[in-house]
Amino acid sequence: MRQTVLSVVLEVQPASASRLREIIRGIRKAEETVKTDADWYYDRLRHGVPLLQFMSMTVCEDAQFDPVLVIECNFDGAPGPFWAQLENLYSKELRDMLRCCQRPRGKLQALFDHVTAPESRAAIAPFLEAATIWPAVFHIGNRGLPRERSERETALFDYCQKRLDDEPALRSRTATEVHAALRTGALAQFPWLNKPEQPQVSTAENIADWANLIGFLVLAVAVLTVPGLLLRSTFPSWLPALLGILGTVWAGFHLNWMKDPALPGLMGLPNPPVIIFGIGGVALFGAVVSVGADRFLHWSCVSTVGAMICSAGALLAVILAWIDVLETADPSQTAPPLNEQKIRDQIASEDRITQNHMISIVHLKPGVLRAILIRAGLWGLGYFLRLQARDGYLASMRTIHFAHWAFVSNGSRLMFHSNFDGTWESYLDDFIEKAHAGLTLAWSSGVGFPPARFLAFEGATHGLAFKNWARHSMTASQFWFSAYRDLTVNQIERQVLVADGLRTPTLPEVKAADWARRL
Amino acid sequence: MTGADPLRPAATGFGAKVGSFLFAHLPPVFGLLRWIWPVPHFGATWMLTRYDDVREGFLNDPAFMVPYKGKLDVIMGGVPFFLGMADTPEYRRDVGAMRAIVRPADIKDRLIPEMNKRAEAVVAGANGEIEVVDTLVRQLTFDVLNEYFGVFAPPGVDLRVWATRLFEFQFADQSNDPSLRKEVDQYAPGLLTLIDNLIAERRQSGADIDDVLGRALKAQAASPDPEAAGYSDKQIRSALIGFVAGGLPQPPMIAPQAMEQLLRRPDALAGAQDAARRDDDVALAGYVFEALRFDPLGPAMPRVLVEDVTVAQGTSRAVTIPKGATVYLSFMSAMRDPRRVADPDTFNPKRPSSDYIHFGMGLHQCFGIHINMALVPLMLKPLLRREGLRRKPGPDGHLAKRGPFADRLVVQYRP
Amino acid sequence: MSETEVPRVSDRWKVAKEYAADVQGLIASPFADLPEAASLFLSLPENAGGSWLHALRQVIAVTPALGLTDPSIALAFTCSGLRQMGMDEAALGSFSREFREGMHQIDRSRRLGDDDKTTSIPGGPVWGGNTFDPYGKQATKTPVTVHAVLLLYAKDISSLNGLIAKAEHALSEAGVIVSHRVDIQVTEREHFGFADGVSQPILYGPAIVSGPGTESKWHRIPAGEVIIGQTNAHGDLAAGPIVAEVPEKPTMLGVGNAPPGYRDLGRNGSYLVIRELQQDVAGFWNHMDTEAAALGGGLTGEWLAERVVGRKIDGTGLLPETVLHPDSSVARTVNEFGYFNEDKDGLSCPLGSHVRRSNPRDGLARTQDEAHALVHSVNSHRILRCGRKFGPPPADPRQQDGVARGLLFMCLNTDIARQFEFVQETWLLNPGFATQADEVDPLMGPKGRMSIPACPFRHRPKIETFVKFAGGEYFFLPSLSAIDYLATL
Ligand code: HEM
Ligand code: HEM
Repeated sequence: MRQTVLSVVLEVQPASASRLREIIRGIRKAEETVKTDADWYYDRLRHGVPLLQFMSMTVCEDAQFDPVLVIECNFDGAPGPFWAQLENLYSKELRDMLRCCQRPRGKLQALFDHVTAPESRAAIAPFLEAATIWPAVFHIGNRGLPRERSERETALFDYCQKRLDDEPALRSRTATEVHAALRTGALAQFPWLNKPEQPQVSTAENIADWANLIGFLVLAVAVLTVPGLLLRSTFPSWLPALLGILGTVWAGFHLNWMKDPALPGLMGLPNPPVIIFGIGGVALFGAVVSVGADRFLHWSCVSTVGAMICSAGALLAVILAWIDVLETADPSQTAPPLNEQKIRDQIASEDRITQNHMISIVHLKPGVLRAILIRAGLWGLGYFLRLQARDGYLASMRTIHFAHWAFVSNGSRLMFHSNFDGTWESYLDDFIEKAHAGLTLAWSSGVGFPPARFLAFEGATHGLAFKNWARHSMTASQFWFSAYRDLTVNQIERQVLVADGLRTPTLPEVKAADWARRL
Repeated sequence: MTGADPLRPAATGFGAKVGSFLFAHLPPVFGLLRWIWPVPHFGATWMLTRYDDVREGFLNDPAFMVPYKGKLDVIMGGVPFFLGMADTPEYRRDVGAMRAIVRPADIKDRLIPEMNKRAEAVVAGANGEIEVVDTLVRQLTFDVLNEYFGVFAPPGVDLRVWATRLFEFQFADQSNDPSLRKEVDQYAPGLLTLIDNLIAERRQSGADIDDVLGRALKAQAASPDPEAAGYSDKQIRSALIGFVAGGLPQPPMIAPQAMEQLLRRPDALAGAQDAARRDDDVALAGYVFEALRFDPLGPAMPRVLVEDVTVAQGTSRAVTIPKGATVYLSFMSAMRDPRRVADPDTFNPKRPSSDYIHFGMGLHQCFGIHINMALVPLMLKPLLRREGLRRKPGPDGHLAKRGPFADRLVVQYRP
Repeated sequence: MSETEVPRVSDRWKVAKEYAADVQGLIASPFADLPEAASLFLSLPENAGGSWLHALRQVIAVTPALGLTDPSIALAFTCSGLRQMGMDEAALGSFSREFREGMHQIDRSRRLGDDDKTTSIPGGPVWGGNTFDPYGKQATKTPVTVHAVLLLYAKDISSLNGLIAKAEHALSEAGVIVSHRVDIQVTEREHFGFADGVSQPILYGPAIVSGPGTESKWHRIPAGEVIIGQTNAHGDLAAGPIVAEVPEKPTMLGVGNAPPGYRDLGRNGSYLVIRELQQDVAGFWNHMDTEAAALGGGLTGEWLAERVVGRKIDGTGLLPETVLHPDSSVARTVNEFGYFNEDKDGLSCPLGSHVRRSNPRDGLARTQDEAHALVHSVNSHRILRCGRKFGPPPADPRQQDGVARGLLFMCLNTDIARQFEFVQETWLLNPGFATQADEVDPLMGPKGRMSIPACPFRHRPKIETFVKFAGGEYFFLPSLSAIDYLATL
């Protein structure tokens, strides 16, 4: 079951920013006052847009840019139906919001004019679709679990809990019998238990995920080895070998790591200095093979392969050294100007339901190498996560429902959104303590980020500095919606296991006991 | 209570056969059109097939004018009825006047209980086999709503026939069939006089009956300038004719169509029956209107352009339609457009309201929408509650249509 | 119930000599050898300045961490207290946000669960700092305003009373009133009857001299988690307040970690969290008895209470029989254990019990590999508890006697948000903690269900609230040199 993560980012007419905020707050107020269910806010939105899981609308200010309107959407299925559902509810508000935005130039202009003209009744969805910004990398905690299914399974879970509470007699039965008893009752109320669910990750998606990652890796290898191939095909073998060795030597001279205490390894890898030595070794090995095979054995094929290996090793070494040079000189913002009122607004909006939301926009550090690496890094990370993080766990954290990074402002800024369980503090601590490498990789290209090493090391481990930096880049959303205010990522997966158990006609005792533990 | 047939005899001949075959197989045709030719046209006749475009057509009422005025004038004897109007002060006055006396609270307070009672009685009296179109739905619609409107036919007049003919003339008579016109020339003045008489009688008798007519007359008496308030005799008459001839023939079309679609889907039928038995009217309505999405009221609504309009401006399919063109807004197609409706071919009784355009939208969205949404499911509810509900074996057990109208559908159940 | 020998963790490490004279004794030891104590919550007059500290010093001195002395004294200040003493806004601004805003700041009180009427005493908490908050929309006001707390510890009640009299006299001379007083006793057994003070973090680092038996994998935390200026669990120097240097005014404050132009006010100090929690002992036990009976199977109130707390009444861990086997060492069964290998599913110690929530150890891990890393992560959220009980012990724990008693919860930490608040919010009161749904700490959270894993399926008794919040605040516990500096204000 496909899920979509996207955002729409539009520049706002500065003078209209406060009006825009008012419109958004107006939507929120209306949602919070119109109540149909007894204990539920946001009813209209919840029923009117059943595809929606999380959504935020925020006007983000920045000292260097005009304010931007960010509409962040996380929903089931393809964008078209989602936008139609949303427009059906908020067509007036959305149109008024767009009217506060700057007229885009280029392809979007005609659509924008059409949608925002006085008295316009044109559909807004096509514009929002055209203005969509796709994430550079995203993570979905409960992948392939549409909201509609989670809601069903919540009801089933509650049903099971109630039966267990109300029927102490079940306690004297075996787990298999308990399972059978619950299943019999549940089937009557939840006939869908008899029907197969869509797989969380379909075969097609699975194949695509693998193909993407493999394609990415092949491309990366190609980019690194092609210089060797080209040089070798036009010049004698000593030239690529010499260039490779020169590059590696240059890299060796420029590495600063010796002056620093050794960095820890990461995810089972040795620490960076060891890696760099290894890479240098690879370059040398390639050079020797290339020249040797050519001069002494006259195996031109092997020689070419050697040149390619040399090229890859040398390029990697140069890139790492270059990064090291950049990072050593990187200024970082140790004390970002914290706007107390802004932070208070953020804190006031937090910790009201099970989940919290954060939106942050940071400037990106300049330079070609960085520009390439951050894009390639996020791109690869995205493919990696699609395969790696399917059961809700990101490293050892299982708290993120939907998160994404996207480039905005023509690639000069990086936007981050997350909808996570628990407090903001605990969320950042989780990153600091458990998943700092991935986070540092994604964010160390941000201006002012705490000093990082080799893109993925340190950085976010500087707890307080990192939290301050993150806070100051954030904005309290004027509107934020969660479709299920008391479900954690964990609980959603737990309900899946409970439901899966009940779909099975009979469970042998061991499996049944395992199943019953989830209850 | 079967008198004259409300439906005219079916057209015969090859053309009619092709027509009805096409009519029954519109969805794939629309699917293809949406994909390769989203704004098809033949001469001055255009069609919008994509959800966004249909929506734009409905909402852009200043440019997309309703074409009903000409025939409405024939029916109403020249007194304007708001269905035929643009968004003018008169339109707002007349609609406002009717909104004030056709009150939302009536639905819960009287229409729903009344419909529940009568529908149950009809099904209970039918003893295990019932014809859905006429015996069940048409009868219920006319009985319950006419009583609510205060429109009663004198002996010898079958309002079902009159209203249905006038409806056909107004909405489903693209070719201006002379034989239909002949009937209309008889029924239209008949209905005018009938209502005039009702008004006169009511005023004379001084009876204080709380129905739409009674409320209208009260409002008339209370207002210094009834015409300006929208409650002159003629305005009241037009509104009532509009309701009776424009509205009442529709439930007998759509309710049986919904039933037929449910019968085709055992799971959906089981779900609807379960909702009916649990008295969950919200869920039941979900089933009925979702079923209707697969066979809605009709394929499209007509409009006439009063200016050149560029539809879907800013997109690659943008097209300018000239002033004077007739444009059909295919809400049938829109409701199956996967670009805006999630999994349109899946039966899903829990869809959001944005997936439905059953009642039009914008200025001329159905005046009776709330009444219909509440009552149509209830007309089927007692039937759905019955055990062993199934089609009658044989051709009667499948919904037959005559032109755009549902004609006959017989079902059986355990009495 | 057999009395297990419980080694006192806090005796196993000492503050190193260079620091000991400056660090308050309370950081190094909860003064367990001085059973009688009183906490005097002080209100200062307008523009109090620091002179009252001089007056106080004439009669009693704050105890350094040099070793046991009788009596012992600790002193800490709220943010409103420092402001009342004339500390300038720039210096106040260098304190942590939590301290500056205070425990009753409206969003904080929501997040700590204090806005829930059912977990506070009727009428709401009585005391707090009533911190001035320029941004807070409607800071909750408590009837009693507390500016500082003076903690007095003595061997017996008579020397304590003498001490109190001396202190009160000196204070009242200086215009300072004791606006709230709680007499507290050492809590080997807290009022519900459970052994308390069993599990404590063990500090290490350059400022600490570690004794034998402190290699514990489970409880070692860097000194910066408790002492400002030392390296903390995130590898940073624990941040504290600084004051601007005033050339003409000599100061006893060192430069410490302060940038040029500033002096380090926070160094060797800590933040002290105090929460006065009333306990309804009879209510608790009677409820345990009824709920246990309702579960059937001959389960007793004690059985249920032990699951609620997460330890046996005598303090032993609720561990599987295999671990509790006679030849396991006492230390291990008392505190040197994890949950991942021993009791992953909580069949012995419920996942939602107080102890498992307040320190999940490796229990939140998914794999063996992760388990180790998670201990490290969890140990970035430890607190050094030094609370004591107030009110007399109940004669019969099941007999309602109408006497107020409870726990004066106290703990030390350097990052209140990451330590105390994290424990309270992310662990104790988190309804989604450790795969649970809609359950909170059964001991101190609002009433609700508590899952107790069992075969073939969990018990899920309803647990009422018998612990109520009566007042509290965040305090700055300065070093002795910082107290000297404050006296010059
Ligand atoms: C359940 C069956 C019905 C359906 C599916 C239906 C559908 C529609 C649709 C699609 C329109 C829009 C026409 C257009 O835009 O060209 C409409 C208009 C209208 N309907 Fe219905 N209708 C139903 C029953 C009724 C009933 C029972 C009444 C009587 C109260 C009624 C009164 C009207 C009126 C007065 C208008 C014109 C509204 C305006 O011009 O503002 N309809 N209906
Ligand atoms: C009246 C209220 C409370 C009572 C009766 C109580 C009781 C206990 C008991 C009996 C223990 C086990 C013995 C021990 O390890 O010392 C314990 C442990 C603990 N409690 Fe509480 N407690 C209360 C409030 C709190 C609060 C408010 C917090 C913090 C926010 C807290 C944090 C802890 C911690 C961190 C442990 C140690 C867990 C471990 O390291 O294994 N307690 N408590």
